[in-house]
Amino acid sequence: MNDLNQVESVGGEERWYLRFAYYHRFLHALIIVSFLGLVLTGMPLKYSEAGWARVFAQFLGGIQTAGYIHRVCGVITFIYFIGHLAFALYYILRIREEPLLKWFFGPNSMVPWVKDLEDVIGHFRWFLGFAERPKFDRFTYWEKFDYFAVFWGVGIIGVSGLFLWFPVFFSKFLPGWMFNVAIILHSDEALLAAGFIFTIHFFNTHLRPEKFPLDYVIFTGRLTEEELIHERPLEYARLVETGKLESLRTTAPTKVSLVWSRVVGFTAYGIGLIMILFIIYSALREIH
Amino acid sequence: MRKVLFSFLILPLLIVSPAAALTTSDCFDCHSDDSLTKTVGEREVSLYIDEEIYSRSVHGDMDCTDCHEDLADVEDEHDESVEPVECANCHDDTAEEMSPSVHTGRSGGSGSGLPRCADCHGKHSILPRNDRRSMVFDLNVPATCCACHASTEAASESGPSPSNVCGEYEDGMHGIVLIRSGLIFSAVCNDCHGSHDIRSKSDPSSRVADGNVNATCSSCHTGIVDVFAGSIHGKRLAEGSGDAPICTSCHSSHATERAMDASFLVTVTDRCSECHPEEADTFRDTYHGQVTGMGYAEAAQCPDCHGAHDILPGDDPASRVYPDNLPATCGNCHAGANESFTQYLPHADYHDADRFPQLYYVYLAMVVLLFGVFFFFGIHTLLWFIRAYIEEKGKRA
Repeated sequence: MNDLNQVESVGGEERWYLRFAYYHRFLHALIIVSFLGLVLTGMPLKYSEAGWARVFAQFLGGIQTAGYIHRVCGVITFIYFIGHLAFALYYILRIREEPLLKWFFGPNSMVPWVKDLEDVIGHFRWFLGFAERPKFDRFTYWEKFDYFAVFWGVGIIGVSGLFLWFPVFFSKFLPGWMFNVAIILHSDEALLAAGFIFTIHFFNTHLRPEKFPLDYVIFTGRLTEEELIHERPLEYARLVETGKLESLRTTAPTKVSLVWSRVVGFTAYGIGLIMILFIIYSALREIH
Repeated sequence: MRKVLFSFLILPLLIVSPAAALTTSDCFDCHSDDSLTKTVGEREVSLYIDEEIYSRSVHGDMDCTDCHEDLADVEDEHDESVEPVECANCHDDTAEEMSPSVHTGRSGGSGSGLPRCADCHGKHSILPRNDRRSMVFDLNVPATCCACHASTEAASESGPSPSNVCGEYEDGMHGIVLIRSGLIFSAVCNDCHGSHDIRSKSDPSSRVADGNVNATCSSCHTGIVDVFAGSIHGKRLAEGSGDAPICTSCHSSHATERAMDASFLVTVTDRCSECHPEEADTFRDTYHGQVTGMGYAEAAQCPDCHGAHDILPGDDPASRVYPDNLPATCGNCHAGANESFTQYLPHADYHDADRFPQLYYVYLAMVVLLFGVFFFFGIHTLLWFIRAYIEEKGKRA
């Protein structure tokens, strides 16, 4: 653990660096709230013939109220989606320091590129014990996948959701059978999203042994120098090289923020676990 | 004791008067005593007759012995056992009507425990049926019938009485209108079953036999039955098709629901699915069907698009689901629905590649995506977990 010794020799106590600014944490909070709301109110409809779905709908104040909550959460989804696009535009126009193409294919962009493919292969080789762990940069390939899964998901689910919300309006431009298509897309893409977030995302980001039980970085925005070196050695090296590391230096997260992170995180786990169990139960019954 | 009293007080009067048949006033000499009883088995039965009520009954100006014929020749007191009154002596036409009834035991009943005239009409207090105190006044009919039919066992002696008919009637629309709203025009038992000639449902000449149900309902719901006759169901029924629906195929007989009530609307698909299971299943897969299944009555159910009593096949230009009429039909809920809107497939089955290729391939693509993602990340996660676990353990060791 050379990296760790290095840190300790420098400061004696942990140094903290900022990974996510308030704005990103706020958008992620909107995602958590709206996504849980959408899944809770949408899945009962997808499995409307199951007993649990009716109990769920009753709990949420009846199917009409559930539908209302669903639409409100849909609106929140559009808000964070537009909020993110606005930030992306602002970043490209104002914050970006590299030339457009260099940035686009570089480590500060979410766009998957050759290194990500190499990292996937390298990661599998490490899983199987054939190689060292790949050196990741600011955004890993699974984080980019998460990002585009949400991006694609909001696009597909959001647009099809709008079709279904305002069918008379959209029928001015589209044939009516597109609503049948929209229902399939909306429903199955939602199943994919819920299934992915509540299992794969939860594991990759929070539940894997290194991070268990929770990665606080998305809630507090902060990570330690040790984490940064271990998780994202290329980013750390670049920050040191360009002399920007110190500008990201910040205070340790407060006790309150850690407790709050746990409350939010464990609530999300709980809801996710319940929904996954219900979905698996219903899916298995459908097969029978 | 009473006989002693009778001997000392009344007998001397009879002795001095010329010997003659009992008169009504003779009867009331004893029967106006409200403590007069006899014992039948272990039960004490009152023999008291209210003269005032009797005099106002339909039989009030008749003599007791007109009905109690076996007592006509009795000169003074009579035995405790009196022959049952034979109403048919006068009401012979009614007796004729009764002959095929389940209540005579000739239409499937067994004989014992069958009701007699008095069970429905009373004895000494019989009033015209339009008198609101009459046992057979419309408002009182359900209580009269339910004296036996409230208990399924009581009625079962003379034939099966399915389920809880009295409770169902009371909570059904006819019962609510009659009992809770007090509206006299609601249907009571005899409106559907008849009065004296009540026949078993399995008897083809019964008012409630499958072949006659519609005619029976039409005695009140005249307009609806006319509309029904023009529908595909009505036409098939008239042609003698055995599987054509009758009123009670969709509406409950005793637990009659109001068709605009949510409880009826959210279950109407179940009724239609008896004959149209595939259409019901495909409907249940749609948003309309899903929210209906969750109890939301305002979503479209079968009758919202197809009509109820006036249902016609989709190729009939008068049908609500005939292509030219669809914008108006959809427009009932989706104001402004145009022709393009009506290309929505309300009974689509996306598993059916032949009929709905565009939906099938979208569905297939989603399934492939779903399985692809979970397959890749399932393996990825599993391997990662094993590796990370080993590393963490090594770090701690």
